Amino acid sequence: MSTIKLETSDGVKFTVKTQVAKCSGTIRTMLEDIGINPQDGEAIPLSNVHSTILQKILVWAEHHVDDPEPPREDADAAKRTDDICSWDEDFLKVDQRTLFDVMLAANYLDMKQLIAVCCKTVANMIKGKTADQIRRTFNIENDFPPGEEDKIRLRNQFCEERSR
Amino acid sequence: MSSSESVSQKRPAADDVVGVTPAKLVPAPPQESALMIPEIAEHIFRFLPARQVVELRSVCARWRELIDGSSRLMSRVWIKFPSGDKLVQDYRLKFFPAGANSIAVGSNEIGYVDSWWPSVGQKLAHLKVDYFGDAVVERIIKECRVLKLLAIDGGVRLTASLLEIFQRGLASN
Repeated sequence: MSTIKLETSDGVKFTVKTQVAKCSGTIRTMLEDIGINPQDGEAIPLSNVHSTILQKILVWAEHHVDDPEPPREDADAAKRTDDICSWDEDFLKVDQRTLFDVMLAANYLDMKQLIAVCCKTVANMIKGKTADQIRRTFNIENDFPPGEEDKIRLRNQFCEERSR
Repeated sequence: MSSSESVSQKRPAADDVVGVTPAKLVPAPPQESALMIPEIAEHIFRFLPARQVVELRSVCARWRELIDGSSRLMSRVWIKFPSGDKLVQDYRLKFFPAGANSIAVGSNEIGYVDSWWPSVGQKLAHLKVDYFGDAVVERIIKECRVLKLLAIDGGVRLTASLLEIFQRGLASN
């Protein structure tokens, strides 16, 4: 079994099956294009990923390592969010902070399927909520000057969903 | 392979992939929320109905800026002219976000298009027109160099010359 070593931002080294590590487009590029040779025993530095998050991501990658490539979708269309598999649903039942850190790391590691399932999860948290509820849910500051929000709402009336 | 780490032999799933024990791990330092990273936020918003994406403009300034600037998100939204606006010489669109590329012209009186329409028309991918005479519609479409979809409604007739202008535009991009 071929393995490689990964080193996280906090200096923790992980020994990982090469096939699992290659779920990350970033690592795949490092191995295949840049020609980093893991046989040297040197760890690949992942300077933007913390060990607690990498550990979680590796569990996901191990579970999904044999998944087939997903079909390409229409980029403009609104997409489904009700097709998250139950394993992923359980996997992402974590506090918001962890969920967002997993998203940042998945983004850095270029793991498209993991990013997509995280985005669907957050979209489901947003769906149907008012601006105010969303701010409270995600602790986002309303940084508009007084009156600006009403002006934005007025402008929103000039927008209409484009049916296809 | 050095002796400090080793690949685990037969342990449960999580430990099977990693060569460290969870006890060693300390919490990650705080970083900026993924919700404020433009490419991640845009990806999330693409899973939402266009109507709600528009409403998200009023959550915070960064989201508004992101949504207004995203042609991908904006391509699912018609921008309508404020009803009652007379589209006369030197008319200024009150609301046309940077990423917008779809316009619905409906219950407006069009008096003049040459002075203000070209700057709007040249980036439109989708256009819906209603009520106007063939000549006005032709002048409108002539400026739409990257138009992919033309929806005509109500009183507008799809004349041969209209079709030709549209097809010429399609062929050139």
